[in-house]
Amino acid sequence: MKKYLSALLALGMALSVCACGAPASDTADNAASGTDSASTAEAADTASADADSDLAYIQGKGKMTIGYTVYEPMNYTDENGTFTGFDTELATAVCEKLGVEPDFVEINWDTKFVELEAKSIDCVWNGMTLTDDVQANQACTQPYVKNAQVVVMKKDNAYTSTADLVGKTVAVEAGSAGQTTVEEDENLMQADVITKTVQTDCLMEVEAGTADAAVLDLTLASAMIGEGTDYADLEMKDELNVEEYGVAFRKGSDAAAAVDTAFDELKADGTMQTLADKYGLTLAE
Amino acid sequence: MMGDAVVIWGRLTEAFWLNFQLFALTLVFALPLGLVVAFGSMSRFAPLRGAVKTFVWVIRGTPLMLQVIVIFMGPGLLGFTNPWPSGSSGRLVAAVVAFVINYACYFSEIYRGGIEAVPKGQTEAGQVLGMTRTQIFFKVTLLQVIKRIIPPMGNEIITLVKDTSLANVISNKEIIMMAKEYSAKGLIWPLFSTAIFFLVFVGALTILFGWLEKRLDYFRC
Repeated sequence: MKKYLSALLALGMALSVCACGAPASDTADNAASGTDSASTAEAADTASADADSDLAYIQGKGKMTIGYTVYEPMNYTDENGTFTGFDTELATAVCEKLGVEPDFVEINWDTKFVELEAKSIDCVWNGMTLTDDVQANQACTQPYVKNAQVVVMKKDNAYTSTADLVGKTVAVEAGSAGQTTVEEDENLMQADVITKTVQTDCLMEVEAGTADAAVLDLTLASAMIGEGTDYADLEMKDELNVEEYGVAFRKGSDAAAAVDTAFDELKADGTMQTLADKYGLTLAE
Repeated sequence: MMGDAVVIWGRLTEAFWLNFQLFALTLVFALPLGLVVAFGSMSRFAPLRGAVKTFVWVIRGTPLMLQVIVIFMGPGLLGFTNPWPSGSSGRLVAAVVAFVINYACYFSEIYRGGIEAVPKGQTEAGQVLGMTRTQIFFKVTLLQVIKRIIPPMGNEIITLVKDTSLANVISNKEIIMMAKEYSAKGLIWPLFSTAIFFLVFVGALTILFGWLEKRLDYFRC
């Protein structure tokens, strides 16, 4: 994931530099002011610890500065030149609830938390995986999107762990994240791995009994199998490489809780599900 | 990162061995089976003739790629137990079965053409001499049939060489599928280099058929 992100980021940077000079100098300005305010912000923090909340600070400016990198389908520019994506739309909806304007700033992924502390951005909102490290050092929202590679088998097949699949036939899409998962799992790597050109063919193999299991994207699997589909007797037996995405604010920030409340409202009125369907993502429970 | 050329040529050759196995096994079973089908389609028993002709129509009327999928996954999808051995050998067996059925049907029509081209007078002469139908077929008709059908058979067999790639639709890792593993990583020369394997193999077959035709040249009819 990180590699993928940094590759995209590099591409994004290269493009923005090539396209015109303005964004490049913008970034430079941001970086400069960022370093400047780092020490002052820290000083201010220690001086007036609980004097005013981070949420009040953001609402006071009237805009939330959101750090992102170009990363489809989260934040990207579509073929019509419109800046869009799941996170772009979701952040816009949340900002509306908080009564602020979203201000998207492209950042260097490797220094995202430095920018956060420096107050050059208010949050990192870019399909960021919630790791223990991130959760310990930043104020994070609840997970809002989940990604995983799932093991799909026939319902009546017993499954306890990937160890059950040693020596069995496992279908994956060639070059997919599912294939990487299988190659890295100490049990699955001992299975007879069959590669297909598309993930959906893997499901057909399981249905036909010509493969014992398929390993594929959670989102695709949840849309393709179960009641009312052609694969009614297939089910997800396991989730591997589970990742949950969240938004990170400065450590101790009360804005994360406010965004959580907004998330709950957007979930309740179905806005989040609509967005998830639009961009082919799965919401976290 | 991409692995060196020697490794890639080695893996392509290894994958082409699967194409060759499928080719050889198909011929071994489809050549005799085709003759059986040909007799069925020429049977004097109308229901059998009708059934065989319908079967040939279905097989020649649908894509081989689809037949491979149906033979391999059909039983399981229809709720029966998957009949194929597990592992990659099962996939090759399923492909062989599909290819044998398909090619037997094409071969049967070539046989039929060859058999019907032998003048009826020869059969009648055999009968006058008191030979049985079997004797007439093997001693009088067959050699002439073989000579006549070599060019159309050569054509069909050359088609078979290239059709073996269709087996990758059920993940038989033949040469094209192997080469695509590289093109998926951005290395494209292996995919186009596979043509060399097919060209060399078909070249050898062409020489073989030319030689066979010459050998049978003395046999005029």
